[in-house]
Amino acid sequence: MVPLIDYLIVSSILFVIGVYGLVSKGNALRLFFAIEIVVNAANLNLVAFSRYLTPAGYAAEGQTFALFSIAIAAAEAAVGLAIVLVVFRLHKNVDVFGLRKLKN
Amino acid sequence: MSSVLTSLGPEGMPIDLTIVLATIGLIIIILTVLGNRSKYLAMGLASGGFAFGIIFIALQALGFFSSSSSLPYSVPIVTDVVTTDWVSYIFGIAILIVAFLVGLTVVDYFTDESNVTTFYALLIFTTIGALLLAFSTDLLMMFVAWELMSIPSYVLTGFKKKDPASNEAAVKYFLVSAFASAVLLYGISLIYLLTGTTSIYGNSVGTTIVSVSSGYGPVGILALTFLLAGFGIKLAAVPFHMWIPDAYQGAPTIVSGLLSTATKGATFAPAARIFFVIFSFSTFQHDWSLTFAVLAVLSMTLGNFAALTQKSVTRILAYSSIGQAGYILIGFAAGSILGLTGSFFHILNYASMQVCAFLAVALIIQGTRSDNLDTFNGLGKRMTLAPIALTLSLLALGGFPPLSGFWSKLTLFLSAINSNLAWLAVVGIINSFVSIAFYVRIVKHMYLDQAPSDTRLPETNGFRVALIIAVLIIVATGVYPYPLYQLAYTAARSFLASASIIPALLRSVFL
Repeated sequence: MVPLIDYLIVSSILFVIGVYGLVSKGNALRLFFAIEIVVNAANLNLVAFSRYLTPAGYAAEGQTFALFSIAIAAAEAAVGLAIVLVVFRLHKNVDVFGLRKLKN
Repeated sequence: MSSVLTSLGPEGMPIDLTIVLATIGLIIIILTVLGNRSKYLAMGLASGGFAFGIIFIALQALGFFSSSSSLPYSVPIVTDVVTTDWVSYIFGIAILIVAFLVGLTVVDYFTDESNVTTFYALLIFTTIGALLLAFSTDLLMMFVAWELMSIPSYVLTGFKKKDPASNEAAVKYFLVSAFASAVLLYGISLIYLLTGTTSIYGNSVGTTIVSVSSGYGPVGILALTFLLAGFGIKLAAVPFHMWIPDAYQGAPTIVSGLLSTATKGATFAPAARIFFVIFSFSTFQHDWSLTFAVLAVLSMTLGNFAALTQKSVTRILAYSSIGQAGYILIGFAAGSILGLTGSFFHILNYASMQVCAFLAVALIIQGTRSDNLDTFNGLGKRMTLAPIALTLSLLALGGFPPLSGFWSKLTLFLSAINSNLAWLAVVGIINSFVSIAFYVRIVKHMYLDQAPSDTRLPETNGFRVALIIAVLIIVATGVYPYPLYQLAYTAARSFLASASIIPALLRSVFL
């Protein structure tokens, strides 16, 4: 069995990649994918911890949680991409740093 | 978890309420799809649902459905993913009142949008999410409710889809809020590792905290950090506040009112549950009291001082909402019964004051077509109700004595002094004086400055009713604060008692 620390390392790397993507780019789609990477880091955590805490898997709360989280991420993607699409129609690009109308 | 489905009695009240409201939301959607786009039918259905919810929760809290439950200070026995304790009652009623008031104004606000019925459906779903968030006692339920509250509110923020400002607000709010959810999920996964359960009041929490002090300390602090960031973004606490002014200014003004009261208020309930129950007996208890104190000071100071220089009234209200979050966090920092009483009391008052202010500004903007402070000049002569409501709510937010905000701020500052955080109370009082400057500045523009023209601006009936209800709540609480204070006190006392079911009575120092 792969030790828990390996999963933790992978998930931390995913988390850091996600946060890096979030602070380094301005494209709304890239930002959204970076957020999805963070969500998936958390999902990996949940599944790995669930397996580690209950090896028999009879009360796999963590895995249930991950399933819920994946479904919710899909709903969030649907709404989020719709918003980005509307912004693209108005501005012809989706760079969030270009959206400065509200900053006076 | 299966017991939720089988307990549709008094204990299943949150589920009953969810079913009723969700059915109404679905009926509105089905009617819209079938071609019945009557705004007033949707408004009637939604308002009826919210009013039913308020009455239902009030009756439940008064013990109407069972003789044994709801003894004033009884400790709720929490085995489900949802609970019915006093904290959830007061948050639930506050959320439903805000949703009811916003619902009354939607038809009058969106005069040139065609999808108003959809707005009502989304309003109902986001309200259900906020309600379940206040009722949830399981991290899984909490996360699902959190997303149910957030996802419709992204659409509400971008509801004026041809307006660039509304779109900009929506995309910014969506990205920041989605990041908050992701960070929160990461924090939850770490808590799951520490406690082995997703239940907030779970059995193994007590044993786990022992292990936190012996070796898992860093993971616990990491989990606390992630959760603080996740909640901080939704609560608009500095340093997680950057999205607030843009989102509140760009969003339709009544949606800003909803976001800054229902969404934000509902987030305080799980925050209190997580930070006071899961992290209450850990070794870093002192640390996070100080953490909340620092967050409170930063939020109050930045919110109030940044508001001084703003030209746009909605932006002033956005910064004021950051400052008010700071006041509420004082009670969390104090961590005593009095502190939580103050926090809950101030959340209740803040909900009515802030929604009243935003609705009044929404009505004014409809007439003047601008939220610039200079267009508010002389409004006292051009409108009747909106300037009065705005004045009263701003004075209440600033904490003028005969109005509701004064009593809850007083409770918060006293609780800080009681918990040996006198410096925090001093910072809060200084901030109160600073905030009065910009609150009164708006009033001065409305009543003392020369109006650009003398034409009357329209005041519509939906707004009239909503503003009158909100003003009545503010004034009544200000003149006779005892019932609401008692409610908040009951909630705080039973909440801290339930938090200390678990092992050692470390908290008894404060009880």
